[in-house]
Amino acid sequence: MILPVWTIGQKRAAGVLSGVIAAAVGIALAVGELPVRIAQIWESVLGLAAKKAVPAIVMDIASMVIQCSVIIGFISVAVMFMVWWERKVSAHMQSRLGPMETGGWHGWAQTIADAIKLLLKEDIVPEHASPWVHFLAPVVTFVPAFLCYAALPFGDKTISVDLDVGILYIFAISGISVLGIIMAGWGGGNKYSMLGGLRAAAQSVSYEIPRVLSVVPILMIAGSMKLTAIAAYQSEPVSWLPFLPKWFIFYPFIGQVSFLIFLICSVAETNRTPFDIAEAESELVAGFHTEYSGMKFSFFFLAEYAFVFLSSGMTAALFLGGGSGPLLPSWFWFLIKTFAVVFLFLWFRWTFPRMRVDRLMEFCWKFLLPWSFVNILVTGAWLILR
Amino acid sequence: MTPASLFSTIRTHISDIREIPAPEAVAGAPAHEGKPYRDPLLFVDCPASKWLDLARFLKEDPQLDFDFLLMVTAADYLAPAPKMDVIYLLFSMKHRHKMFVKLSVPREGASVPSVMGLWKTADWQEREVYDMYGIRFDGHLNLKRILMWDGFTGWPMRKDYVHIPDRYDD
Amino acid sequence: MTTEVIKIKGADLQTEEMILNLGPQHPSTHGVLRVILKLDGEVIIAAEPEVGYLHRGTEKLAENRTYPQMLVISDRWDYLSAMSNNLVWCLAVEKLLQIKPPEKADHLRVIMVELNRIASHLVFFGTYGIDIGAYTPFLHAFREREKILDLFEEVSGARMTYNYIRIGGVMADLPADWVGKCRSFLEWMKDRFPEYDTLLTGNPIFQDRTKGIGVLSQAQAITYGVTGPNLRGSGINFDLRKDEPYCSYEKFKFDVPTGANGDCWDRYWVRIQEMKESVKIVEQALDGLPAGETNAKVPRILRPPMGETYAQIEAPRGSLGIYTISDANDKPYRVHVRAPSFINLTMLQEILVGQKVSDVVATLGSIDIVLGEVDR
Repeated sequence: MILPVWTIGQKRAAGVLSGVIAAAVGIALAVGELPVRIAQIWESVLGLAAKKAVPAIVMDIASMVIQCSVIIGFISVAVMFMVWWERKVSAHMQSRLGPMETGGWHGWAQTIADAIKLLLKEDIVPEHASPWVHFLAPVVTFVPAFLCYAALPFGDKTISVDLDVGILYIFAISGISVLGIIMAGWGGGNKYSMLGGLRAAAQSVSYEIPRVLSVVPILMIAGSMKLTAIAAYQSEPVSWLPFLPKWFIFYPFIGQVSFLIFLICSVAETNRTPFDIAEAESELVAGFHTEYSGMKFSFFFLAEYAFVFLSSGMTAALFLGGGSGPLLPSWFWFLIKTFAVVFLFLWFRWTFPRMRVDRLMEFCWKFLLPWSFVNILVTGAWLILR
Repeated sequence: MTPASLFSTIRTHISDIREIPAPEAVAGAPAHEGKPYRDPLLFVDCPASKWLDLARFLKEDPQLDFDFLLMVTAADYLAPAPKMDVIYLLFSMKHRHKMFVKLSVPREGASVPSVMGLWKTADWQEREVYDMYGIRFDGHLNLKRILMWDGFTGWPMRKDYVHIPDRYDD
Repeated sequence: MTTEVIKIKGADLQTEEMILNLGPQHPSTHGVLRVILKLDGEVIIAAEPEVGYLHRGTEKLAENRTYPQMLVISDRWDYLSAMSNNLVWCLAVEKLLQIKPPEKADHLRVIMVELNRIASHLVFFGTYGIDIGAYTPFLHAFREREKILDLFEEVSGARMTYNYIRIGGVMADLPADWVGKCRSFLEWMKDRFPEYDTLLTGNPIFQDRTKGIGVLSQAQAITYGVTGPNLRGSGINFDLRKDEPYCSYEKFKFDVPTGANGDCWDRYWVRIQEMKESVKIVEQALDGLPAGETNAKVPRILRPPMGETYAQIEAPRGSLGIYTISDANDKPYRVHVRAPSFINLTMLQEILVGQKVSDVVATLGSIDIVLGEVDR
C-alpha cells in the first residue's frame, strides 16, 4: 500500500478541520454542564424581572417561548449542517468533491443559499388539489418532529420536559407525521402521488411496530420509560467487563439485536434509502411530494432531517449511553454520538440500492417483527434467571 | 451446409425458386473497379406467393433448421426495370449456416405474406419495411408505422420519394 | 347495517384496465422511448414500446454520401460504442473492395473496440445501478470511463464520434506513450472489479431486485432475434468473436460468459464478466502488437464493384450488421443497418407481461438499449 502524499489543499483542509474541532472542544469545556449554566442565566433573568415587577405568569410563558425558539433554532441549524454534511459525505464516497464555492471553505454556506432560494420560489398549487389539505400537509408532517424534541435528552438533565413516559410520548407523536404524508399524497390531486403517499404510509406504519418492540427489552432492563433514567442507567460502571462502558449496545445478543432492529426501522421511518420508494425519482409512481414547490417542499425535507436527527438522538440515548463520557460535558458527548449515528444514516443512503415495495413489507413483517419478539423473550428469560 | 447443398435441399421442396447469380460487370464502367463482388452466401429468389411455404420449410426442416431470422429489409429499383425487393437473411443457430431470400414485388400495390407467425422478430422489421417502402404484409397483426410519426404520408426510402411539406416544416 | 356491507362486498367488482404511459421523457428510459403499459392493478397485461423519436434517416442519407462520408454518420448509431459502428461499416466496405487491412491495423482495431466495449458496459453498469436506486456506482463507473475517453481522445481527437477506424485500416498510428497509459489503465481497471462486486453485484438488495425478474427463455430469445449479452444471459453460447471471427479475433484467448436462467441478473452478470474478458483481450493485443503499416492501399475515390454483402460484428449490444448494395458508384445504392437494440427491444412486449409495475424499470434497464441504434 502506497501512503498518499497530501496536497496543499488537503493539508489546509485538515488544518482547518482540526482547528474547528479544537475550538469546539474548548468551547464545550468552557461552557461546562448546560443545566448549571442555564440555571445561572435564568436566575439572573428572574432577578431582573423581579426588579421590574414583571408578573410570574409572564415569566413562565416567556420561559416556554424561549425553550421553543431555542429548539426551533437548534433544529434549523442542525438540519442545515446535516444537509451540507450529506452532500459532502456522498460526494467523497463517489470520488467527487461536493459543494466547494458557496461561503468559501468547502461550501459551508450552501444550505443557507439553498434555503433562501427555496423561500423565494413560486408556490404552485395544482388546480385539482384540495387547497386546505395541500396547505396543511407540510405542517402536519413537520410539527410532530418539533414536538418530539421536547422529550429528547441532550445530556444529563439537559432536557426540555422530563416526562415519565418519555419514550412513549416520542413514539406516539412521531406517528402523527404519517398522516401528513397521506395528506400530501391526497392534496396533490394526482392519482400517482396518491399511490405514492399510501405506499409511504403503509411502510411507516408497518415499521413502527418492530421499532417500538425493539426498545421494550431496554425498558425491561432499565425499569423506566424516562429517557434520562435510561441514559443514567448506562453511565454506571460495569461489573462484568471492566473496560467496556455499560451501554445497552454491548449487552450480548439483546443489545445488538435491539440496536440493529431499531436502526433499520428508523431508517425506514424516515423514508431514507434503502426504504425510499416514497420519494424515488426513477420509480414509475411519482412520490408523494411531487406537487409541492418552494417553502412547502423544503418543509418536507426539514421534517425528514429533523426525524433523522431525532432517531439518531434516540439511538444515542437508548443504546450508546446518552451523555456519558469522560472529561467533556455530557451535551457534547451526546452530540458526538448522535452525529455518529447520523453518519450511518448517510452512509446507508449512498451505498444500498432501493428495496422493492413488497419485499420491504415482507422484510418488516416476516423478519424484523419475529426477531423483536424473540428479543423480548430472551430478555425476559435473562431477567428471571439472573 | 454449403450453399450448393442448401440450394439443392430447398429445390427439392419448392421448384419455383432460383439462385440469384453474381452481378455482372456494368458495360462501360471504369477499369479500376475490378470484378463484381460475389458474396459466398447463398442468395435465393422466390415468388411472393410461395414465400410462406418456403419460410415454413426453411424453419422446420431438420437439415436446414433456420430458426433465427437475422434481418428483414427491402430495396427499391427504378432501372433497368421498376421493382422492389424484400430481402430476408436467415440463420441457423444449430447448423450455423446463413442464406438470403429475396422476393421481387411490383412497386405499386405490393403485398407479401407476413412471417410474423414463424419468427416473432419479423414483427417490427416488417413494420419498418412497410413504413419506409409501403409494402403491405398480409397477416401482420399490427401493421402501422414504426419509425415515422403516425400521420406521415409518403414512403421515405423509395427512390422517387419527394417530401410533402407538413406541419413540421416552417 | 352489517348485512348491507356484506352484500356490497359480495357483488362483482368492476375492475378496469389502467393505461400507464412510461413517457418519452422519463429518468429511466435511457433515451426517448415510450412504453405504453396496460395494467390490471399492479400487474402488467400488455406492454407496447413506441420508438421513432430519434429517427434521423441514416439509411436515406447513405444514398447521398460517399463511403468514407458514411463513416462519420456511422458514429451516431450506437453513440456509446462508436468504434464498433465504424468497424462494421469498414468491414462491409472492405468486403466489397476485397482488400484486407494489415495485421497492425487489425490489432489496433481490436484494442479500440474492446476498450469501447468496456466503456459501454460501464455506462450500463452505472445507469442500471441508478435504476435500481444505488447512486454511487454510477460515479465510479464514469470515473473509469473518463480514463478510457482520455485514451480515445489522444488517439483520435474525439470523445464520442471517434472516426478512428477507417476503410483499409485505422486513421493513424498510436501516439508515443499511449501503450504505457493504456496498460496502467488496465491495471487500474482490474482493481475496480472487486469494488463493483462489493457495491452492486454482491448486494443482496440488488440481487433480490434482479433475480427471477424479466426471464427470457432460450426459445423466446431465438424467435425474437435477440443477440449479444441478452442472448448469452439466456444460456446460448453464441458470440460472433468466437463463432465467425473477424479482425484476427481468432488469435486471442478469452472466454464467453453465459448465464443460466435468462433473468435480469444473468444479463447484468454476463456484461460484468465481459468487461473482464475485454481487459484480457486488450492486454493480449498490446502484447502482440506487430510493427508495420496501419493502412492498406485504398484508392482515393472508392468505387466498390457491383454486388451486395452483409458484414456483422459483436457490438456491445448484440450482433450489429450492415447490408449494403453497391452499383459501382462512389455512393452506396442501399445501406441497411441491422441494429441489435431495435431488435432486442421487441422482447420487452413479451417478458413484461405478468410482471409487476415496479419491475418495469429493472427489466428495461437490463436489455441495455441505445436509442440512437433503435431509431437510426
